[in-house]
Parts: sequence; structure tokens; C-alpha cells
Amino acid sequence: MLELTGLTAGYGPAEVLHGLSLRVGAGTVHALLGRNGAGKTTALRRIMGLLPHREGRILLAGQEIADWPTPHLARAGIGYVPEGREVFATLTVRENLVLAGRIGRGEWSLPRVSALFPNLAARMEAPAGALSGGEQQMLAIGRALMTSPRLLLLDEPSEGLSVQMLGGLGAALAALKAERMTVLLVEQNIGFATALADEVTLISRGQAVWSGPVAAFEGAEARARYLGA
Amino acid sequence: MTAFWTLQALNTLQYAALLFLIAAGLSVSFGLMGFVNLAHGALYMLGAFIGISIAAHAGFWAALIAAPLAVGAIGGALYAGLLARVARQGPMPQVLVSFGLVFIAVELARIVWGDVPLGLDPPALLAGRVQVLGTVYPAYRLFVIALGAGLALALWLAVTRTGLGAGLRASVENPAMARAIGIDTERLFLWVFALGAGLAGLGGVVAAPIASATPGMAVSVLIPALIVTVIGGMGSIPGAALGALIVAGIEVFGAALWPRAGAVLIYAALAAALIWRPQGLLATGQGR
Repeated sequence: MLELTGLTAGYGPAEVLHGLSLRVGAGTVHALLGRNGAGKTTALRRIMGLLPHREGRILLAGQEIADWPTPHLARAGIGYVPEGREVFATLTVRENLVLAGRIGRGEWSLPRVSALFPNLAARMEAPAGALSGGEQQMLAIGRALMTSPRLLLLDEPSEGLSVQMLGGLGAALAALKAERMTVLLVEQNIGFATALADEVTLISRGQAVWSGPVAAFEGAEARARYLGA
Repeated sequence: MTAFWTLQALNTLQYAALLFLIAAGLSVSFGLMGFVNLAHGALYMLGAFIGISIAAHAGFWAALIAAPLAVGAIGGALYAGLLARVARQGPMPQVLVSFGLVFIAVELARIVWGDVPLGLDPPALLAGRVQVLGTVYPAYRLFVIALGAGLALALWLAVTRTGLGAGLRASVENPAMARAIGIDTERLFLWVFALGAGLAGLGGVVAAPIASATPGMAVSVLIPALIVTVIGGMGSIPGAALGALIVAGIEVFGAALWPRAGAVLIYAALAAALIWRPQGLLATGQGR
């Protein structure tokens, strides 16, 4: 579904990604792991067109999209859940979802999002800024789903969640996986990520240093070397 | 005595209606793009002159519709061709380029329409005076009040109740994330900019029968309009309306009650607003 080849990206003169390559198969959950500053968030921002195109290729279902503007990427079926949620705080929950649904193809509706995240159903008319961190995370994912994505980019969804919220989020993501949603998941919480993932790519200093199925990742020497875990 | 207060209150409302038309676009482009668009004053002036020219051939009502459309188109073209690029380059280029446009527009207006103030007669329907709460008031000015209030309400409803408005609020709050859910913020900003320009043009046409049109109005309107934006808060329609009422109230009542201080009071209010609520009374967005 998504294929990165020799992708570079950065902020001004500072380059963060130095030729990242990885493949996310259709209907799989691919975890992108690595230490702080390894370039995980930069990779997602680059895929979403929020950082300018430099070098390398990005293929979405075989189509070159590396220099597409962000709104086109959203319409082409990439759903983006940024680090820190970034819900539209001054809009109501309903407005957040309906607005994103305008480019959707109707696969996702308010009732379907509410069924996946029951917490949101009761808060539809609340300003999104008034939600708890966990509820905002659910809204950020629901908002991305409303755009009818073929590929979901998730940037640290577990960050700052209570244990209870984490369980709910894990169940929701497992349900998405069961429906064969393609996901590129960036995580610091290794256990949370490996419980969901089919494939793992480990990055260090902006390059992939290990890639393989999650079963092989458990005992991989690279895991200890690059994550210390 | 009541007549005096009624008259001043009506003058305040009428002046506020005009200020609102000019400040709405200024405030939204501030809040939306962080863009200090001083060329807004020139668009207001062009609205007055284009309106007068159209009215000479086709009458007041045609001018009231066509001049704002023309100014909106000019504003949209300026934005697409020049200002969108400048908007990304920080306050100094914004101020220099947009104020440069004011000088160009003022000179062009001198060449085309001359230096003599041009008047515009109110339409026959609104030429008379009307009894209001123990005073008589020009019907045309009541029309201006109704127009300003009606447009303020319509804009507020459009921003708060429609899908387009939700997209606009989302884009003001977080443009990058708005783009990530498929909103073409560049195109949205172009339309909003053109709409703001059209409103300023409308303000110009509407003002022409009250105060005659001169090229200098491009500059003289800027200070009160900027003060409205700062007091009301950037990017907020209710803020622009409230700011317009406050600025108009201070100017009108200041001039009537304390003429010697009238000109200073508005700056005192600006300073007080900046100290008390630097983000404005009803600000939205990132407040760049």
C-alpha cells in the first residue's frame, strides 16, 4: 500500500531522515519504532506532505505521491493522526468529525465512529478542547477515519493515556486491524505497538536499521541495541 | 435632551456599521493568515470611486451590488498574484508591500477620478428623513445601520452554523491539520480574502453618500479599522462588530461631549485594550 524509497526530509538546513526505506503491505499494521529523535514523527509528517519534498520516492498503491500537496494526499486516502492529537479545540466533536467527513466516501459515519469509540457518542456537542486527553485521541482517530482512508498514519496514539484509556484504544485499533485497515504506527510504547503490529521497522538516525515480522522482532539483536529493551 | 442621546447613539451605530464592513475583512485576514493587510484601506477607497462611477450610469442600487463585486475581484487577484506570497514572509514585508499598494492605488485614483472630492446622492427611496424616538434621522443612515447589522448577523451565522464556516474556523485554528483532512486552505483563504475585499468595497460605496470620496480615504480609514481589529480580536466576526461599536462609540460621544479630547480618546482606548487584553476582546485562532 505504501512504499518509501531513500526518503530524506528535515527542517530547514537540518536533515532528519537520511534515506528511509520501508514497505507497508495492504491490510497490515506496520510499527515504526526507534528512540526519541530517530525521525519517526518526521517520517509521518513527510508522508503527509507537511514537510517539503527533497529526495526519495513515496508510492501509495503504486502511485508516486512524494510531491503532492497535503489536501490531495488526504483526498487520495491517507488519514493522519498527529502527535499531540491536534483536534480542532474550538470546534465541537461533531464539527470535527463532519468536517473531515466532507472528503470521505461515506464508508465512515458518525454512528460508525461512535460505535468504535463509545466515549465520543455522549460528547458530540462538546467543544473538542474540553475533552480529556484520551477522548481527544479517540476523536483524532475518528476524524482521520471520517476521511475514508486506505492508509492510517498514527503518531504515538498511546502517549499520555491512562491504563484504562490505553485498553480501550488498543481494542479499537485491533478492531480496525480486523477490518484490514492498513496502518503505519509510530510508538514509544513498544509493548502496545508489538501487540498490534504485523511488521516492525526500527529506525535510528533517520534510517531503517531493522525490518521484519513482529515475531522475529522479539528476539532480534537490533531490538536490544537500538531500543535497549 | 433625550433627542441628543438618541442622535449620538444612532450616529454611533451608523459609524460602527461602516467600520465593521471595513474591519471584518482586515480582522479575518489577520486571524487567518497572520496578514497585516494595509491595502484594505485602498480597497475601501476603490469601492467608493467605482461605486460613484457605476452609479452615474446605472444608479445607486446597481453600484451597491456591482462595486463590491469588482473590488472583491480586485482583492482576489491581488491576493492570488502578490499578497499570498507576501503573507508568508512575516510582518515587515506585509506592511511594506501592502502599504506600497495603498500609495499606488491613491495615485491611480487621483489620475482616474481627480483630486476633487466626489459625492454620491443617496437613492430617492432613502433620500428623506425619518422620525426615530423623538428625533429625525436621515433614512439613508438608518439603511446603513440595517445593512451593517444584517451583514454582521449573516457573517456570524455563516461562520458558526455552516460547514464552510467550520472549515474556516478549523483553518484559522490549525491550518496544517485542516489541510491534513483535505481542506484546500489556500483556495479557502483566497475566497475569504476576496470576500473581505468585497465588504471593504461595499463599505466604500455605502460611505460615499455620507462623506464624499477622496483618494485620501484609503489612508484615513486605516487607523480606526486597525484599532477595531486590535480591540475586538483578530479573526473574529463578533470581535470586529464589538470593536466597531466601541471605537464608533468613543469617537462619536467623545467628539460630542469632550471635543478637545475627542481625537485622543480612541488611542487611550487602544492602549487600555492592549494592556488589559492584548489578544483582543474576542480573539480566535493562533493569535500570531
